[in-house]
Amino acid sequence: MSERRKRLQGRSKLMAYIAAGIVHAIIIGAMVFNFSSKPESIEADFAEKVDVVKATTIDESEIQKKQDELKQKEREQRRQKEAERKRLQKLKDDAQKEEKRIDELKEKQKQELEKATELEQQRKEIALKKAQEEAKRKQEAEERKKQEDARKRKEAEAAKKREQERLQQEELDRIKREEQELAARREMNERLAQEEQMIRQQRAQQRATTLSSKYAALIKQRVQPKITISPDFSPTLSTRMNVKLSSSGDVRAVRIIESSGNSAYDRAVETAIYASSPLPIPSQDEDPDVNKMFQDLTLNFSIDGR
Amino acid sequence: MNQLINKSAFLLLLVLFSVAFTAQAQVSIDISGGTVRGKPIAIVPFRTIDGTAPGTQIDQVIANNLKISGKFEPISANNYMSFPSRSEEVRFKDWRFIDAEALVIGEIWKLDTDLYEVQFRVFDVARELEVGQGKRIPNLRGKDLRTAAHIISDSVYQAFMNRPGAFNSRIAFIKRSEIEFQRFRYRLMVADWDGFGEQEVFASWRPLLSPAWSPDGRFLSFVSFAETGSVIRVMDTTTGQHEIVAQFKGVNSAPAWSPDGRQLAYSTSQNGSPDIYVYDVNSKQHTRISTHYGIDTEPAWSPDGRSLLFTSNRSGKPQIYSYDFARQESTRITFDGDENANASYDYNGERVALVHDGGQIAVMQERTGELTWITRNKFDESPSFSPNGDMVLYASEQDYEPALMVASSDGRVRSKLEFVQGDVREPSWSPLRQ
Repeated sequence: MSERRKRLQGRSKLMAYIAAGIVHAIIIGAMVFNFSSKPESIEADFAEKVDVVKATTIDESEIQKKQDELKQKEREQRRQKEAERKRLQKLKDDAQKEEKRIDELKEKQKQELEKATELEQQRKEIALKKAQEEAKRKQEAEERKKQEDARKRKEAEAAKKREQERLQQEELDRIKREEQELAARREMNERLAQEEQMIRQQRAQQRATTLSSKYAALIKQRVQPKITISPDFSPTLSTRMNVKLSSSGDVRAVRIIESSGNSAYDRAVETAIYASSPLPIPSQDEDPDVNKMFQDLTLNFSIDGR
Repeated sequence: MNQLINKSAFLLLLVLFSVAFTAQAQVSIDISGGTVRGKPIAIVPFRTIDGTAPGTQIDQVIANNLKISGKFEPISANNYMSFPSRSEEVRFKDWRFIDAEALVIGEIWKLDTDLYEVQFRVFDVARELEVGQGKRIPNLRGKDLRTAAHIISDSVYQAFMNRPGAFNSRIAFIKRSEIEFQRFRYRLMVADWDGFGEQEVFASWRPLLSPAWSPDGRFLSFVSFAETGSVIRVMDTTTGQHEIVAQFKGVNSAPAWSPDGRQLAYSTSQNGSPDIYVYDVNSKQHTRISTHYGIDTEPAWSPDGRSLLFTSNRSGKPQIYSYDFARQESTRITFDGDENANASYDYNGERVALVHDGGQIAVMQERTGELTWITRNKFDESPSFSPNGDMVLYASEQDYEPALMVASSDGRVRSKLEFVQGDVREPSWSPLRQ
């Protein structure tokens, strides 16, 4: 579209030039015509005057008459001459006038020309200015357009960027959300697992407690009669032993945690533990954890149970 | 979300806590009481190598020794599942099965006519390991086999009781034999601790009393009666020589050796009422210790030699007093019961064996005065500790017959010394044979 407008603008410009040319030609033509017609009339006036002078010179009575006549004639002639001078003057004036007029005209023409030129110039300037302006405008427009474009581009880019960012954000959000969901789910699963484990543990613990108390009773039942008590032991004696067992209950090591202070009682207790080997403990099949627990026993011995 | 975290954190904490709790909740079992008994021990009949079995059955001597001590309970051989005589033959399972906690095995090698060698090994069945060192006892005559059995018994005792046995010690006692109707021969006898192999070391037609061993087990002091009254004699058991060390007017009685063997404490009534005197073996000097107008008698040295126990009726009835040599003072130490008499210390001075209320044997904790009754009879007398303090020898009656008895010092096991027959009294336990 802009291309077409440009072309149109170009054409109208051309036509303006042509019109301007024609106007100039007409003006110049008119001026030249005036110039060539006027001088012819001026030369004819000069010829008549010469003839008149020769005739006035012949008779005296006549001359007087003639002189009168001549005087008349001379007066006439003078009048005529005056008239002629006047006329000439007038002509001269006229010529001057004309010349002046022509000059004026010329001046005028010149002025007009100048004016036209000026005008032209002006117009040209205007046109130029216009063109310039147009160009400028165009440039500006272009600039603006460019800027606009840039802006638009920028905006587009920004928008695109924003969009991208938005998408990214969305993606991020989505990922985050998913992660959160996942985490939450995991959390939930974990919690469930924990709860499950707790329940399991509780059950295991209950079971372990049951198992433990059962086997604790069995161990007690087995070890107790093997403790060789001497009647001279003080009834307040008590001792604490740590017993390490194998998974099958074989006594691996017995360590005194708290001695009774009576080595005979300590020894009797220690012997009872060894003599009871293997101790009845929950098998690994029954409960590996409890079995493990039972592999490290603390036995509290006392004579009177207080 | 936060709440969830909080909640899960709380749960986690709970789980951790419960785990920590279970980790800490170690299995702890309370076991009270036990069995008042001796340690179950299996003594496998010793295998005789090359020859017929000698008359002495070593395993039975050992079993008897350990049983009387009260610290062991021999398991009858009828229950044994195997009869090993060497360590490689021992299967602990067999002995666990019959609840034996200790095992003794051995062999008797007959090397020549009346020449034996005994080898033995001791095992801790409970811990499944050999204890002590397998020993050879060489150069034994047939009559020495009992001694070998006592050596083995001591070794077993040491291995499980952590202190020496007393099975190689001896006892002295007075035996009255009616030679003719109402005519008695009084004999000072010495025998193995179990009463086996009694031998007369002194004899008299007049009563003999209060035999007491010197700390080295070589000398015996005792009271005999002469025309003038009772005299205190000391005899060398290795040579049979004897001498009178106290022959004062009145009653001279109850000699007791100081721990270093250089002094003899006794009671004499030379000044009217019986008082405690100390006789110095080297200087042959007599030093008066107590001067009370009451009866002071039956002195007994503390193991550190710094004090003497004696019986005095200064408070009206017989009670035990302790005389401190440094402070030269006597203090009453028995307050339980109407009468306490005839006291003597164990080897470390922690306990005192005494006759309570005229006929009961009791063991008193010297520090607390707490009594443990060995017997509740009416006529028991003359208690003395075994050298290791785990047994008490005393005179009693069984089926209306006099008898020498050995009880565990906790009073749980009382055994009659079966080898000692007749009218026996005044027993006294020797120190360990050195």
